[in-house]
Amino acid sequence: MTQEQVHPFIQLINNNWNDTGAWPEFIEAMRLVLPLGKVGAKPGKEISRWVHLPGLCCQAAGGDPESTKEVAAAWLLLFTAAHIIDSVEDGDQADEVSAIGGSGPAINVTNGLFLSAALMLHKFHEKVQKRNLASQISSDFYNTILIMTSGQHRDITNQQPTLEQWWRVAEAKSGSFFSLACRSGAKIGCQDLDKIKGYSDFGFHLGMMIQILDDLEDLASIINHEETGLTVGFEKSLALAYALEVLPEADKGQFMERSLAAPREPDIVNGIIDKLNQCGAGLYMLSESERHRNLALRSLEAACPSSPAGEKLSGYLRELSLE
Amino acid sequence: MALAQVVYHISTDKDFALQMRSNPQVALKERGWSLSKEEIAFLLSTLRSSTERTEIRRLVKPLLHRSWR
Repeated sequence: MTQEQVHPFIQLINNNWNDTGAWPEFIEAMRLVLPLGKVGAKPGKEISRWVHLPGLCCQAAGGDPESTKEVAAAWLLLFTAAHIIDSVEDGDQADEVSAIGGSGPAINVTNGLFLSAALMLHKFHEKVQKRNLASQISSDFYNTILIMTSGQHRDITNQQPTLEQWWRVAEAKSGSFFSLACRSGAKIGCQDLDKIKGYSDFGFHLGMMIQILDDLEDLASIINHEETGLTVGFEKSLALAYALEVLPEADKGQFMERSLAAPREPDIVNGIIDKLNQCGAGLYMLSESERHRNLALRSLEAACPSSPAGEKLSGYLRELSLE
Repeated sequence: MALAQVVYHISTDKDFALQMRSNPQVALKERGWSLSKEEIAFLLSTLRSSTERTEIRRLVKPLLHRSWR
């Protein structure tokens, strides 16, 4: 393969767009926000590794990974749409949003990506002989999108989640979405309900690990002083939700006042991080990440005792480990 | 939310942390908390290691060099 060859998943999406009547500039805008997918591209521009989850779970369950490509492409389109809409709703200044002209065009592009995912699922429906399976998978996708959207609604309307609420939102936004990728692949690969549940649970816990990492990334921006002033990222962080859950009442008010003070000068940030370390926020995030890693591994081992595809899936857990 | 409470007490109460090291089952039972074997094993491993391992700055540092998206 040469540098200019486009990744097969992106090619599939391109072909699907070319079959529609959408205007070229709109297709170009949707293409711009997708992972680039050129073989040999820089790491930040590589196609998301998570697009391989349906194929790997299908293969590990005994099926042909090739038969999952439309479902995997639909999932990638949704993954991209969720990332863009999350950036717009959170007011982040994501490169992809700027590249297509700001939040207005980004919302429109997100609509296009959602509908492109639906069209891709339709392609899968046309291809497979087991129409019942295709209907089940489409229905599972739409239900999961509604769950994710519910989680996002709670996230953007609740300024300061409790620890319990933080976990419910993470389950809805990330756990359910990664569970969908793995469950869909396993359903295409086998009919064993226990195995399908194993891959579904694996994906759920993988998604939870990713959400913890995503939260830590927001914290990293604050620590590195990339973010100034009062940021939504910290107000809604797992570390703050934990601290407010465990700190004695007398300490909470003072900590909140300091945490939400603006502008956030470096010495204030250092004081907040010291307080979080003292109350065990780092240990808590590490423990939760490890807990989900163990649960994911256990689910995977129950579904797939040993196989090369299963090895790749467990490799993802090692890569995401904070240890 | 038992894990959160246990982590907080390990981090702020030296007597509880000592009791967790010597007899975790009793330490948890006395306070009415329950954790899985894996959770207990992980917490004990952190108690035996340097506190730097769980500091937020150390946790976020490797994130700058990798992508999980």
